[in-house]
Amino acid sequence: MSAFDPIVVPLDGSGAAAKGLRCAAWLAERLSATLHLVRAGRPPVPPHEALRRLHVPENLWARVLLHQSDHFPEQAVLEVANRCGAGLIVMSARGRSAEDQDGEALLLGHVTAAVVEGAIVPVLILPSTYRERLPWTTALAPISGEAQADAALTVAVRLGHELDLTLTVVHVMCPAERGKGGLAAEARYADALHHEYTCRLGELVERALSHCDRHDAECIREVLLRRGDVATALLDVIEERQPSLVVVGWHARFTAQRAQTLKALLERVSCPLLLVRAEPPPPFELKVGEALE
Amino acid sequence: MASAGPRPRTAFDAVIFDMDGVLTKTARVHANAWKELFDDVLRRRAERESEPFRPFDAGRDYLAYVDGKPREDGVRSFLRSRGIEVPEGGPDDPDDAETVRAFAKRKDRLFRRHLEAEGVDVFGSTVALIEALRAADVAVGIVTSSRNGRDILARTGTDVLFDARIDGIDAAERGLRGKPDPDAFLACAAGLGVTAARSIVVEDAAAGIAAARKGGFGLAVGVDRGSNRAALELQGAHVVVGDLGELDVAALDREFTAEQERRTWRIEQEGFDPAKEHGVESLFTVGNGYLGVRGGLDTPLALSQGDLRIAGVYDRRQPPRPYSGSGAAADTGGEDADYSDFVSFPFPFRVQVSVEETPLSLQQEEWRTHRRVLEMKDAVLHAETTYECEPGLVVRTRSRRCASLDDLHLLLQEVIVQLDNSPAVVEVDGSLTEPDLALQHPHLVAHSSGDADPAIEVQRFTTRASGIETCIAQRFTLAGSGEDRTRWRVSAGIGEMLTFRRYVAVFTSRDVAAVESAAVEAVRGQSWDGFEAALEAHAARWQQVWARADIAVAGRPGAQQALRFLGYHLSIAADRDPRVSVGARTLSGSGYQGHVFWDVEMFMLPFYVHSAPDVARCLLQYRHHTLDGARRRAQALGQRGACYAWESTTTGDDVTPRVAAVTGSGAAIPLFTGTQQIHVTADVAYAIWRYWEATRDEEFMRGPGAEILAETARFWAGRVAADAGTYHIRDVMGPDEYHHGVNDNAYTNWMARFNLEQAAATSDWLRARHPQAWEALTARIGLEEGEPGEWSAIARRLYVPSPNEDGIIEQFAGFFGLEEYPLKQEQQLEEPLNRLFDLEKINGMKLLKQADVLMLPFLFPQSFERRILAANYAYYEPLTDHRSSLSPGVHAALAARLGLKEEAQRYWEQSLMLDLSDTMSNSALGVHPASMGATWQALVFHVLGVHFIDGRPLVEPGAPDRLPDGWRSVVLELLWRGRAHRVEVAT
Repeated sequence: MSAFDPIVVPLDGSGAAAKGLRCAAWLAERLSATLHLVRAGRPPVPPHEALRRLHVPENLWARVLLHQSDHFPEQAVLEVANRCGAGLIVMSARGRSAEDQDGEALLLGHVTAAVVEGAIVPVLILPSTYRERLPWTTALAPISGEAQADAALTVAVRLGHELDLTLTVVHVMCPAERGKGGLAAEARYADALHHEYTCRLGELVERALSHCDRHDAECIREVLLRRGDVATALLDVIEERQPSLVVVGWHARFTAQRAQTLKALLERVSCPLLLVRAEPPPPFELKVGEALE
Repeated sequence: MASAGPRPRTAFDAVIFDMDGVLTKTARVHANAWKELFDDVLRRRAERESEPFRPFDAGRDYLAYVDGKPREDGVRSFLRSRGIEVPEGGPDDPDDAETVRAFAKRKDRLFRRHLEAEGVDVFGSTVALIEALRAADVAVGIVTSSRNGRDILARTGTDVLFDARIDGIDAAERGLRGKPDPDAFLACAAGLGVTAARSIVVEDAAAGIAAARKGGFGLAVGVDRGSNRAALELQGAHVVVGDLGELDVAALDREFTAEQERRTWRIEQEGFDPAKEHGVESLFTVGNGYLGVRGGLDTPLALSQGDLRIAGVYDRRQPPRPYSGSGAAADTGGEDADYSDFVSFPFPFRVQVSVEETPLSLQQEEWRTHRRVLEMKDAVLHAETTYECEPGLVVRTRSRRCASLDDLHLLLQEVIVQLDNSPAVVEVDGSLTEPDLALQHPHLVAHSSGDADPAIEVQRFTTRASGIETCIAQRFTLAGSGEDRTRWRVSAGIGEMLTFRRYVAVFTSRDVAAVESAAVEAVRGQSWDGFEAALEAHAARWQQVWARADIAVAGRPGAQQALRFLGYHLSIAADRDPRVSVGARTLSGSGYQGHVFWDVEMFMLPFYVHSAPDVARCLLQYRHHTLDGARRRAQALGQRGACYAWESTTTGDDVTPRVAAVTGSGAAIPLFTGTQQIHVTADVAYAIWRYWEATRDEEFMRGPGAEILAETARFWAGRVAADAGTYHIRDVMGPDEYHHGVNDNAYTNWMARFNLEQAAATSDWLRARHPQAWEALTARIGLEEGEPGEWSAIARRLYVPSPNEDGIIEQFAGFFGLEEYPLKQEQQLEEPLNRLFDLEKINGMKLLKQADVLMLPFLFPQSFERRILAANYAYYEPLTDHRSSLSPGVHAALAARLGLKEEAQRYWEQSLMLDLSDTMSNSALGVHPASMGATWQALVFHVLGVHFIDGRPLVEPGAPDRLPDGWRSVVLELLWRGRAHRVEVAT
């Protein structure tokens, strides 16, 4: 059974949501996963009527489970995800709520923003500049040494293994990001740089893979090291490699000064972004030094 | 409240008591209330489900599941043990609701009713102990999970005895987790103004003892009022008494002090985080110099690096794993490619335990507690793990392992499986077969075994390019079965201990011709009756090691522990094989491909010289064994004599990469270390002199020592360039690797001069004192009569930068004219890989990676007057970004010498804790032995200022003032010319 089964897809009848459904349907087929569709914020109607209003192709009707709720959409999506034990939520960055805004559209609609902030499972976002390219063949996962990036790589590897994707891992060294666990933070001592960095980069990857099966990790085909501003460097790599999917760890907060890299990616990339948040680290203590005093 | 009174007259600062069962006689009241509640719940359930009614056992169930825990936790814990799940419920649940909250409320009501009916009394012996502690100015606290705690204390009039109290109400208000989490004890300690490490916890509940151990309390005293001793001990109680009348303040002090001493012999890990596992594996390496096994779990994680490494087994580099990140193409460029990479072998302690067909692993979610302890005194790694496979099925595993120091080819392991509360079928697979050999150990080709003995599992490998054969043979048994096999299936009862034992033998074709028969016979020759004796023989060897290697520090247990960690790792890094030396990360990791640098000669050797000179001798013999490689290298450089490679393995040929192509960066960066760090040649000569000074080992000096000195001097004689009557050494790199292609590097020139002088002096000595040896040497290496005189002449005229008018020695010609590099704090933190990318830019700046000029007063403290040392330290220290793990130790040494106590302590502690704190997160690649050696030297030769006069060590008069804060004394032994000398410094 897939780790991403079942898949929850909120729909509001918009074109953006329909793209999400096509992507989710492809994923469900490849992963042998069940699709749970969520229609929310409107009075319930008979299922077939609801599916018609949501522009769900008839060939999918027999393969989906429909949930209707008059709760707020974000609440409904999270409730369904919790209830069905979702492995993945798929949604577009901007549904109607965002597209209805006057002036410049929001990067993320408020429903999507609330779902990605509230979901404990990975959320696949189709950004506003999304261009459909199915089937997926490649994925890219940035690592930073932070727990959420490690969690993202774990998810990327598992998904890559299940979908037979080749995975590119990239680490961007940025002085501004030091202290966050990457090579910039780790490299306090480097006795012989040529030895140290090959090993450290490998260790950065392997540590992120500590929850993975060894064979899952075989989908990783290359590990890249870049320097400079993280968002700029990642966008450059995405432009070069044109991955089908980018898997990103994040802190689960979209407030003004946070998630700057993610915001830049959402604005610029045309492939789906899989957002992953980390679970709290398990208890661990090494009783040394001051712990004895 | 914080303790503001006088310092206690004990080694500990505080004692924190549990209430129920320790202070008050309320445990029985609680047990009765729980029984009344649960019997009612169970009876109703039995009737409803038509099941037999199994009542709550007020003895066993009380102790195992509810004792000491907050009420809700007790409800959950006991019901889970019976496979019963109920909703959490809410505060307004009706009395008859079947929810955790409703049950907890009912229990409280029942407890109060029993309390009113039965009353409450206190243990007089506990009160007497508390009063004695208070009289000794020890702070006293009390912790209870009971929400009735404050009422009971007031009712018994004991509330006035405590300086701080945490009860169930406090815990709820402050969001503290209940026992076995340590929150309440830690909060109480904070309230007393003391640290956990300097406090004692007294508990009667197993969960409370577990909390005390998790919290890192200095001593956990268990009180067994009847039939709970085993559970208390299992959770780690240091002392168990039947009543506190058995202890007084002096006894507590003795126990605390003894436990504190034991803790300094231990590295303990509590909990488990897979992301930290590779680093922990390095720290918990067991080894004996012949081999090392990283501290992987008994059931390793999928990506564990718990490999076996054998000194001297190298092979050609294999293509890196696609996901390893080690795609940096390194051009080894040497003739030694077949021996350029350190080989890893499959983990030899692998065990898979399954219970009722559920494989137990820390990678799964079934584990509840995990603790690993490296006992450094006898070099045994212990592990304890608790799993809850399914509701009510608790399994404990315990293991211990070691790499025998008594028989270097032998590994020993014991694994105990115990079912806590339910019988089950246990399967144990002890096969050592590595399922992913090609992926995990790409250097190895496996061969089938020729031995048909089914009792012995044999694995035979050959390295792909170097052709080294290795055999790993094992016997694995269930103790008492009388049978050896690797797979077991056993029906085990509650509490039954299944003890599995393993002997592993490892031999390579570097040791014997017939590896398989050697390994097979080695395990066949072991008897299971002799297992404990084999462990004892191993421990006895370690006792001998520590008799020489231990440094005893009073006053700072953290520093004491770290010094023992240092002594442990240096002791398992090397043995007595003259064909091998210690790689940059020892046998504890893959870092630096096991390559040998200058680390041994300049940083580690003094530790061995003064604690195990026979090991030091062998490490120097490695340089003799690889002299031909150094000769080939000199020849390749167009020189005579011998030039040691900056990085070498077993042949001495150069395996230093010439180019670093950092993966995916597009950068191919030229590396100059291999061609320019020729100072390593003089470093070897310096080490020989140092060994000779300490041992007067004439046999060594007549043979290998003199030959190395002569051949290295020959190299320098050709390498120097004459210019207007002065000799210069050009186009080199000193210890500071940020500057390449420099001329007249002060360190290189000084060391070369020293090499030439020692070679000339040794030649004179040999000719005068051992003419036959002299003749043999001259014949062997074609040494001409006039060469030693020529070395002396060159040494006299070799340019070595002198201090300028400010007392500063220029690092190399033109250094003073380089661009200033104002090293701001944020730039100090900038990643050093940028230094690699910005090689040429940095080359033109006054920025140092590590001590260069300052290495000289570190190595030759008597040669530098204080003014010169101070001037150079003041000049170079601010220009150094300390990117080498060797830098803090050297700077600590010199700061100590200059009386810069705070700075010395900061650097020294950085160096001391380099691996244990893993602040740079790279100990996963293996520990840093050279940094350990630098730390040792900084303490011994600079903080203590030990120097040798008239055949014995003397301590500098200022040493007591230089001791780090909190140190009361330091005691060590140093070997000097065949005698052990005790050195003791006290404040």
